[in-house]
Amino acid sequence: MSRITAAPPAATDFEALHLRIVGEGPDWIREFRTNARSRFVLEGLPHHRMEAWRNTNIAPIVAGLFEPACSTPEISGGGEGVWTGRLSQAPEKILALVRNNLGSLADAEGHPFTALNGSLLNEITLVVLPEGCAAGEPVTIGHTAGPGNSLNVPRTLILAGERAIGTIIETFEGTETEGGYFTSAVTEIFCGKDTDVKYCRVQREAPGSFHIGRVQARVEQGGRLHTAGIALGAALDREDAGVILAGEGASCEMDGLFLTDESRHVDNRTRIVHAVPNCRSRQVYKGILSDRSTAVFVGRVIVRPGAQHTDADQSNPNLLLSDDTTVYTRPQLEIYADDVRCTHGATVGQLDADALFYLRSRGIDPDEAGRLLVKGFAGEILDRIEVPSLRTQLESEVAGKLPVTSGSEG
Amino acid sequence: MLSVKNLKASIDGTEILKGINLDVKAGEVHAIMGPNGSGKSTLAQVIAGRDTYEVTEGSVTYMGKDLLELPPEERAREGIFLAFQYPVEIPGVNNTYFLKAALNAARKHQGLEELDAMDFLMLVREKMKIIQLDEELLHRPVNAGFSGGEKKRNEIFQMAVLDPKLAVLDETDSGLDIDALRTVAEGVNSLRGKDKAIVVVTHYQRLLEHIVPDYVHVLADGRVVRSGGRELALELEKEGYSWVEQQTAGPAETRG
Repeated sequence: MSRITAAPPAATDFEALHLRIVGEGPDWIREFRTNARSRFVLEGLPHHRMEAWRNTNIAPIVAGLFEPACSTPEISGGGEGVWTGRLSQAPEKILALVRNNLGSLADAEGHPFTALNGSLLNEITLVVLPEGCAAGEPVTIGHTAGPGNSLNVPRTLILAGERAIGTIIETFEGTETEGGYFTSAVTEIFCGKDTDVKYCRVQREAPGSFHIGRVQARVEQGGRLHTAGIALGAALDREDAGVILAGEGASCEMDGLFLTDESRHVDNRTRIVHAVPNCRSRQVYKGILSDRSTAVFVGRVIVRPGAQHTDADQSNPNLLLSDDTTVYTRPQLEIYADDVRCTHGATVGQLDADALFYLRSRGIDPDEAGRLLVKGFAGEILDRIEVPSLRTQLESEVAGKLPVTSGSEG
Repeated sequence: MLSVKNLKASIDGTEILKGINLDVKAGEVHAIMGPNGSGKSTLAQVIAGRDTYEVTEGSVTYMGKDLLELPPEERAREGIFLAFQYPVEIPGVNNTYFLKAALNAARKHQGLEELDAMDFLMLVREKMKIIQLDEELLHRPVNAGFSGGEKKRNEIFQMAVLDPKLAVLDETDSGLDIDALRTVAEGVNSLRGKDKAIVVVTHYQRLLEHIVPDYVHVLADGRVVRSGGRELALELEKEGYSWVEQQTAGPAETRG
């Protein structure tokens, strides 16, 4: 086997960038940045000899020369009773919540890019759904990346108190059409007892950009969390999504849809921890690949000792629209309890020839038949997004990205 | 309307149709019967344009056109409809959306104005009554999670909406209980007409009690071995297919 090597020297001195903003903000946030920087120094940049980075080569990020940019998130919606805003606008009561919770879910250990995000942290987007609050409208958070060589570190903290109900939509995009920028984003979601939280994350970064995202959530007793991760852009995209089901009766549904074309690469990692008995999790991550693109799905479900009556399903269907695409899919179940129900499955396939013929035999054009089938495939995920305006928008975005299929081969 | 001459077709090098001759005129109902593996479904699929079968010899003429030259979608727009033996489940594609796209593709091809949502809905409602299809199925993805009977009913419902000139029903009776069979048959009968033709492919005689054919053809080992009137179906019912196979000329090999 090849010798183990560290990552090549980076063009950007990521450690040194920290020093430029280390003095800004209150004491506790400076301390947070300093600790994150220590962690980043300890972790170093990952490389493909590490198991967690085996299928994703970050060389283009390592080779880039980046300048940190300030986060300027646009936050809207929520309605009565919901507190949304940036850290710089937060009153003392909210600040206390941030101090107590920031970084406690998205542990930087083993996550160098979470450490990088922390070491350069400048602005934080905050969504607080107080106890018993039912948000009247979805909260929308829009992150727009800086110029071509910018390093963006959006950070979001969502806190839902007991019985709170709300929907949060977080989008990532860039105005730079050429891309070239790098976004390393971290979002933490705390779902209290009996909460009902829906979180939709849309990654539509510019074509030549790099996106590394992390979402980490914790659901307490009786709480319900639905996440949808839609990945449409970036040259290289790595998304880690983790949920801890921490209280009995908690449940999470995680949906994912990734579309890749040209030579784009998307790497999805999910990690669900069933920490206590009687929790349910369901994951469906769907990939649509064309041209020479590659995708990775590694889904890990961990059932802790004593977490009896765990009910966990995971599936990763992939649709390959060209012969030159590659998909790596690996379900990983770690079960330390004996009375559980866990299923997983992955499929990799092309457009169904029988379905294509069926549609054509009814008079539908081969191209249109192919598009219908791909839209139908994506539709199973998009149909579960409950905000109609977002669902409609995503449907048309997805349709716009679909290649003209060679359905005539039917 | 349809003229099949010495049609030979094979799949992966195995010849299944070994020279079929068949003439269907407007207004007629033809039944094609035969044991499993005789080539009935292959004939239906070749007429609809399935390209997994390679036509090696012979011709199919439909309304004066060389049918084998046309891709499946054009055959459909020209008025050919195949009710599938195994209707395909298409998750995520809405039944109504699909049917509207299909109908308007045909209308456009025929130089007719495309139907808008309202007109389409009215048409659909009217046809649903004939087939007694549950309206709820309209809003579901095509055939996804339908029972066997619902799928077959949905085929005939599509046929009713698309109003084909030549309908080929491939084992539409299989998997139907007697009540569903009667409903489906009534639906088919309501679509009979002077300028239309129906080819019913079936293993059993029972569908033909409800859809009464003008002609019955018996297929065995890729050839039409007997043709006759409706009494031929009754004869088959009594004697079984072994009777036909014994009469089949040529090699004694039968396809399973």
